[in-house]
Amino acid sequence: MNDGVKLCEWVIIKQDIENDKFKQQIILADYYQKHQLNKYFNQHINSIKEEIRLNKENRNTYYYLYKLEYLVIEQELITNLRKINYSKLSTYLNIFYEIEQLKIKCVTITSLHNDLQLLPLKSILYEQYHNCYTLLKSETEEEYIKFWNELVLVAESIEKADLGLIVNIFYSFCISQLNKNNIVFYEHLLNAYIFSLENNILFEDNDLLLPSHFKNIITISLRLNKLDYAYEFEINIKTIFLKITKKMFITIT
Amino acid sequence: MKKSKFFELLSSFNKKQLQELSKLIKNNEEENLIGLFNYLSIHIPSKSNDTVFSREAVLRNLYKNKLDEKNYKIY
Repeated sequence: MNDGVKLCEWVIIKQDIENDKFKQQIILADYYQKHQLNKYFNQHINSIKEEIRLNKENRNTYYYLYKLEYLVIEQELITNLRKINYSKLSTYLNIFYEIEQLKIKCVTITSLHNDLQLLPLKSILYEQYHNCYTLLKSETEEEYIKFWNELVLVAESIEKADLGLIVNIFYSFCISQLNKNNIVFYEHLLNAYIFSLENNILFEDNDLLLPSHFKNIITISLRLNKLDYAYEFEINIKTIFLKITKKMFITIT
Repeated sequence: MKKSKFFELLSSFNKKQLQELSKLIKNNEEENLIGLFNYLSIHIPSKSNDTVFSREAVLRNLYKNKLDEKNYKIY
């Protein structure tokens, strides 16, 4: 009977997804991005945007637009290209959020019990993104060290995808500081890379390492006179690369 | 039986959902589940009276053939 219940639930979920073509498209776009099918990803994003534009507005319209914008930005961060104007992300999210907020306010007013008021947020992920935001606004080394240490403490409770994104923001911050000749950030950036290696978030889903990360790690290690680390890292990467090549060769044959 | 989650979910299903579920259950190859589904999918849409959904009636229908072979009787 449990199997029967599971199958019933699957039918309900499947039908819901079947009826929501935008949800399907978002799932596909996400898949293309995760599997680095960049050509299909770009084609897909453009066609969904056009389709959403041609459809009537509903409660999820801005959420989907926000998700699409987010996927595009994530794609740019992954490929280390920054072209589009990121402000649309906040516009779509704000519209979606404001609509939901107004709904909650309406529900709160119509409720007999006054218990629907917003509670303070107590999420680890919220705190981490909030820290990132404060850091990017303040641009001080003290804040960087404080927030980085906080991240290291809670890293185990954060899922890999989000941890990767947060660490990416820390890399970007370090790089922007290095571009301003703030050389103390060489050490911080190297530590961030070492942390990523230890937490298995530096490599892509297919176990490959982006050339930009590889070059950065070697360059920073050399600039910090950590020749041994640079050498050791290069050897390790070569070993990993050989293993992957062997695995791919076996899979193909 | 009427209080089980499986029964309540089945009762909420429309024709299209039942067809979809039927395909999944047949692929599942679980003999008892197929039997139970076939029995319920006949009686739920026809809104049969409560006695056909009693535990005894469902079990009698599911295991009738096997029990007959062994000369068992169930009441």
